[in-house]
Amino acid sequence: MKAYILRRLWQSAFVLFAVLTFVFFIVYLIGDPVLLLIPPEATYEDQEIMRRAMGLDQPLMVQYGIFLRQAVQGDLGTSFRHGVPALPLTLARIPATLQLTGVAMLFALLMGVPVGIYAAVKRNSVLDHISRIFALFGISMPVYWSGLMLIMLFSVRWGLLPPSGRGTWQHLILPGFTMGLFATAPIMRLIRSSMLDVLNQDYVRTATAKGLSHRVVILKHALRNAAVPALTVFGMQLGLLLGGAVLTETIFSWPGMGRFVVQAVHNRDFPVIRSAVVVFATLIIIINLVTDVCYGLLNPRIRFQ
Amino acid sequence: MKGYRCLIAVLVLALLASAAAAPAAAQSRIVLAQGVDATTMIPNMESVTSTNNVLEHVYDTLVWRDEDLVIEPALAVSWETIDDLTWEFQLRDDVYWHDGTPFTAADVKYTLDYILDEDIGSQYRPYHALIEEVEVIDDHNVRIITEAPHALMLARLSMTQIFAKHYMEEHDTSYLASNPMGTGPYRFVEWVRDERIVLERNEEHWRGPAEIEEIVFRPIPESSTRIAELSTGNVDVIVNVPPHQIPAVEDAAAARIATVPSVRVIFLGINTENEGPWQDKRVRQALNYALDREVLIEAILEGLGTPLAPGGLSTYHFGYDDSIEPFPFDPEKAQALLEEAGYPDGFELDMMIPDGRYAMDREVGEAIVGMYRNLGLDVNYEVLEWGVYVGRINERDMSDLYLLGWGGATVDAEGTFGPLLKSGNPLSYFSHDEVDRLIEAGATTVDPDERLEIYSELHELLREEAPWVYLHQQEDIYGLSDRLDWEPRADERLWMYPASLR
Repeated sequence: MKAYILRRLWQSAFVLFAVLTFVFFIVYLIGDPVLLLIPPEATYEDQEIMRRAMGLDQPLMVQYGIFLRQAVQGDLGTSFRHGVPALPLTLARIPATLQLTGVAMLFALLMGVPVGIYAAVKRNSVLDHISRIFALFGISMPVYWSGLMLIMLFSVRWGLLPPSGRGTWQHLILPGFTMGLFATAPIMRLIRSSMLDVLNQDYVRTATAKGLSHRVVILKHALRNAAVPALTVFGMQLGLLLGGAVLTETIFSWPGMGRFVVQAVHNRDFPVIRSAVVVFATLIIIINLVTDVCYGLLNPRIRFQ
Repeated sequence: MKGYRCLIAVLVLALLASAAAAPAAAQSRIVLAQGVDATTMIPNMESVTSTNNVLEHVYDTLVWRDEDLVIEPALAVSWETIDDLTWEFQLRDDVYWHDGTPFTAADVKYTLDYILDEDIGSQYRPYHALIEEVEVIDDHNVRIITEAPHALMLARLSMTQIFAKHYMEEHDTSYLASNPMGTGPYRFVEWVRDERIVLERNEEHWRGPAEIEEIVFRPIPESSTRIAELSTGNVDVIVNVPPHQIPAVEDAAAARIATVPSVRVIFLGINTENEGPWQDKRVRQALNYALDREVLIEAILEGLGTPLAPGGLSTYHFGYDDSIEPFPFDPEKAQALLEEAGYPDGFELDMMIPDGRYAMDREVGEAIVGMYRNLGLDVNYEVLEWGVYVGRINERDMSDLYLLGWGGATVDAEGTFGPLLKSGNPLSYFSHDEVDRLIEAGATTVDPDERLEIYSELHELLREEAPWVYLHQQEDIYGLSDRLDWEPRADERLWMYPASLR
């Protein structure tokens, strides 16, 4: 196990290097940052002076060399807009993003898992059908719409929760629920279908036959096996949520990564875009690794080579 | 299942508890919501409104604009032009930095030298590029020497915030970028990026202390959310209310709409460098006559705009000539002009429209396409994100017609005509010897009365030449809480010094 994790970490270093290289070059495709940094009436000479000040006049390979040299020292450059190092600026957004994603995932699990189990056990019941419709809504409702509706109802009409911002735990509920709604549907559907698979297995019949209560059979014997495929989806959803937080963060003015990155792309703030991609990539690598390790905990037959 | 029930019960209880504990706002504290956060706390680096709206409270300028956008003294008590190239400013002697150090002429010199330093990369450098040298005469007198006569000197200084030499030298850039220290009416308290910026009143300010004790800036990107925050009483000022959401603010219990004609004007540039009928001024006039500006303003901007007259200056601009009327809507005349120019059956033309840069820009652009098609023109158009649009501008890859807005922070005719109409400048797609001569004369004459005469002549010429299709002067729309006594300004500045609570 330890050797496996070490090897995975070693591989991750290569992935990160590839990400660094890719993101270094890709940002040049989105346009020249100097043009957005300088007053529109500036002359071409003014533009050149600004380009020199930002180090963008150097040949691309020279810039790449400087970038790599700084990157191994943990410096991904100074933000064009903010005038401070980009990586700490980006990392400062992580707690807010993780907090929101965590709450969203919690909502998704609280709503998705019990309903998924119930829908499988009481297959073709009314609740099964309702859950299917709910899943369809959850996945097809744009966050923009559901978020604004929740603000209208819970903040403006009933005055129960703050419309936006971060601070107290009340601030977390609306954005967390909005984002969680989106992740609920796939989790619910997957739990249902893998539970259905498992419920027809011999060992479930054996468990029932030896007189265990229905509840123990479902929650201990069936769910634990059904959870393995669900875990994969859970991991993928977590990645999706981290990346898809942009809209939720924008609507609820949540000071997380997504909103920050969108602003950076608008501003062509290369160092910030690069830092954000590297940070995202690292997060995804960690999530994948943890998901894989969790497989082993759920199912000891999965061996790590 | 018991566990879930318990959890739900806890959540419901928590919700009820939170409803009971609604936060009570401090008496003299207001919250302002802009679309984006400030980017840096070092002034004069970014020419971005949202950043400047914060910093103008912490720092002062040598001269300032009053509510009618007329230049008034600020850190400078008086000024004179010794000759066409030399300006002398007398500074106030009762001004102190927030750390107690006295403000002197050395700070002014340091600020301008900092901006002009090519390695710093200040966005304000082009504004001051004409400055050759700043000379400290004594603690309260400073002289600015320019390479050429600089008609925009005061306009540029009214946007340039003076920072403290000793403070800038003591700290590194990273520290300065998050910790401003100025002479302004408010002191910096804290900045939690993307959450809030808090400023508290400076009791020692030379204008006398402001009314409001604390101001908080919050970035809220989504306009519907800004309106929700205003409706619930959490914020007192919101910017950029979209015209169609005005009723949502008016319906709120303790909020109101405030509008003000903006310094920003919207026009269609005509690329006369592209070969085509629009190189003929009669065709350009026809394009102007063919638009029903009233309909555009009524139908798309909910009536919040004024038809723009040629030359294309806002009504606040120095040099604006109110004797020139906007082009009337006259389709027959447009048709006649096209026939006279030899295009009775119209012609083909390309048009570029930005999306999300100006109020309802895309909708305005698409309505214009419709109006031109009615005239019999074959219009192809493309709608582009602003970053892409700017790229096209820089590559001089503009369509025959392109929609553009111009804010003109200088509020001076030269700030519009120089960059946009003088041949050879990056944003100009028009070339006319007499227009060039008049623009040059306006920019290099320092006497205001002489300049007004020059611009009046230029207005006549621009009406005849019609280098743009003049559209409208925008109105800025704000949502304000009823408890706040404050009038929005035409220049998009959220200047809270004069604000008070009712």
